Amino acid sequence: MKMKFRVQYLIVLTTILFLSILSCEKGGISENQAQIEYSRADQLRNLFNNGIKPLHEEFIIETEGLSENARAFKQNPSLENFRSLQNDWKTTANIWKRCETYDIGDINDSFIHTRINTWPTNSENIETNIEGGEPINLAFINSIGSSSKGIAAMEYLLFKSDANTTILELQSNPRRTDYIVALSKDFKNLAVEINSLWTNYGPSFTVAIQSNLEGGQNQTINAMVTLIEEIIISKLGRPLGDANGGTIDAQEFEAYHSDLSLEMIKNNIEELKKVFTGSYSQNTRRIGFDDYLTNLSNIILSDKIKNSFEKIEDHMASFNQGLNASLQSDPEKVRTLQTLSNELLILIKVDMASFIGSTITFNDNDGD
Amino acid sequence: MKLVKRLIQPTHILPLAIYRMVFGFLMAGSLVRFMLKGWVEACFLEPEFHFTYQYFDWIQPLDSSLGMYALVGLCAFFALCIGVGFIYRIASVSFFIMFTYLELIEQSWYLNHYYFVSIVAFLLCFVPANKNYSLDAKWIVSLRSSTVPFWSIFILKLQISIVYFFAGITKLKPDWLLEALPLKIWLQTKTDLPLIGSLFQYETTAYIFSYSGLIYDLLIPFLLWNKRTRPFAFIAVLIFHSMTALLFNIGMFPWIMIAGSLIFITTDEWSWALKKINVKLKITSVKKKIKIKNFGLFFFLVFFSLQVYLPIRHNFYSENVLWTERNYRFSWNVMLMEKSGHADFTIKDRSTGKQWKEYPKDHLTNIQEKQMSFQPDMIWQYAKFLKEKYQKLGCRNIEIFTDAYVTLNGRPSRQFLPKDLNLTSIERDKIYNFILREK
Repeated sequence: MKMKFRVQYLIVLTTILFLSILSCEKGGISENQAQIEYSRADQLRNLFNNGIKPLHEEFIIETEGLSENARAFKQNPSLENFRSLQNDWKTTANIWKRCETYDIGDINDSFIHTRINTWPTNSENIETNIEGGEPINLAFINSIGSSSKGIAAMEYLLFKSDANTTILELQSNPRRTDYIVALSKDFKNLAVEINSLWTNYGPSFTVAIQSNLEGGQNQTINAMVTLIEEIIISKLGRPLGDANGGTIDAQEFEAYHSDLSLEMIKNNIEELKKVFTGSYSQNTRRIGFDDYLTNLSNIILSDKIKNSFEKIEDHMASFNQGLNASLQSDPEKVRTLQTLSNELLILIKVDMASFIGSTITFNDNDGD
Repeated sequence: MKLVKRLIQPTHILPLAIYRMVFGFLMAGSLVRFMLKGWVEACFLEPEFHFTYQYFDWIQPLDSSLGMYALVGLCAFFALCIGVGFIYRIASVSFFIMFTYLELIEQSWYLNHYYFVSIVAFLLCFVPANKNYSLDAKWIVSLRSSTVPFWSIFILKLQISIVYFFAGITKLKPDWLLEALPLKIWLQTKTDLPLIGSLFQYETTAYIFSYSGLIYDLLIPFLLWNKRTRPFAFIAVLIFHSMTALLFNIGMFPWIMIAGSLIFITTDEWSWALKKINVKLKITSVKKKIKIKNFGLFFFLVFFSLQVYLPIRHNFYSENVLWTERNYRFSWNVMLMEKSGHADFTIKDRSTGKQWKEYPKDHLTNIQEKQMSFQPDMIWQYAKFLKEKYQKLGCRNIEIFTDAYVTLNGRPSRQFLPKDLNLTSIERDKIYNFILREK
């Protein structure tokens, strides 16, 4: 009995001590600390409602416009309609480069990003498909591999040569135009499909405030890291010769035919910055990773990351020609863009992820 | 001499048999889990190249997927045999060899508890844990005995105590004591947990957890040894490891340690506990002492000296072991740091003057890349792999440099190794001498 009483006494005393320590914490429960949980949920809602959702709706509208223009060009293959189609492709591709940031959760599992945009495209396969006898329509596009369709395939068909040559090719071979029309229909369907995937997944994404691999914040950081690594390794590294023993090759750029590669990276970076700051045009309460870091009292890191984004943006603004020409005339300028992107990568993948206890990579084993 | 006398005293086999059963079943379950989670592929089959432990680079996985699955399956089978005490000697030796082989294949998957399992499996090879409560004892009458020499339980208790004690000693570091790191980082990610989650937003909680963990590790072996404090110690073991299982992604470790603490419970205590549920234990007392050979004594003396030396050897260097990781493994540095990094590599071909980048992502799995990015010997191994790759392609005169940044316990990332250090020009051990200071 005596021992039992002592144990009970000890438990009560420890509880009182623990609660006293908590209540004596400097400044009590600081507002910042109390908001950690709140801001994490709020950040995910902001990300989905003000960022992802409107962006994917915009993508649907653009793909509808692209599809209509493709049809109009088929009916009247004029230079004017061709230019309009090219411009529409550029707008659609740029919006997609923003959507590209959000390859997350169910959307990532569905591989729809690969179906919308796989690069480099397989131009030999495309030419073989055009030379073949099968009718080129939506069903045909659905039956072929990702490397012969999507945004990069359409770029090849629209920009492979100068406008006059390309339009002549299109006029002389209706199957080329059929390919473009079928691709544009496919985009339209894929845009609806990805939007619907997000509509279904969005509600669970916004409440995934847990810190494990399925947590929304974790998934977002992983998606950010993946995209920045793609910029460094593939979008800039390949043309800079990182993969071929050091020989620079502009044809390795993501959009070599249209020379839209710089614009595309700009759109990637701008969207990544929005994810970090939460500053979407639609919202008034802009909760992003910067606020989360501030809540955890690491304003220095938050500012460092913002500065890093600005340095990249400033550097990209200093290009007075596309990446194709810049690589030939001033490869160091392209290399600097890669270096700056690498600095951003380290800040997000190493500093930020570690500071907020995020898990990079999706197939973790047991720890320690 | 008193200790030696005590070691040869006979003692009831029950604690040892219970430990054998729990350990065997736990390991069998753990290996099945390993297969079900797809880790046979992820750890052994998918990597294009394996990071190896020093002096063990000759250990490589089998080529066939079927072979690796069969091996892990067989290892699980032998664990089960240990559990039921069937062909125990063969099973324990086979399990030890197979498990240790599997563990040594891939360094990036190093876990303290895999190492602990290997050590326990090694010790089990020597102890007669199948003399009762086993199929062997049921079928081979001559083997049956209700007692074992005390040393066969003692060595397991000693090993578990070493793990706890040194896990406590390694926590005596400024980050743990003064900053409550890394728990401050980890706990703030657990605020979504029901009931207790809200407590984790307070720094005070991290400090309480840090100091509780430290005190627990340092004291628990002594409390478990002591008859008076044992019941409370066992409750503490249950609470502590259940909490770690709830809060952290540490897989089987908590359950292995809970199982480990069972070896401290004496036969009398089991008897008392079982009586509560109307199970009577038949205990026969045997006075016959079992001789321990001098060689055996010497062997275990060397073994345990090594077990003490390994966790303290990093103290011979005046550096932050968390940053350099020199002699970090096999030292019970458990849950001590939140560390991550990024490393890419530049290749310079001196014959042509060309230089280009190599991204680890192209050759490594996610876990390999993650672990390599902040562990110097793995950075060196990857550079060696690249050198061999390019030598096969005819580039005989290349230099390899790394651009590596590492962050430790939430501090700003820093450059880890000099950018102009040609990794191909140094030996594996020497890389630690080039690590740049953290602060």
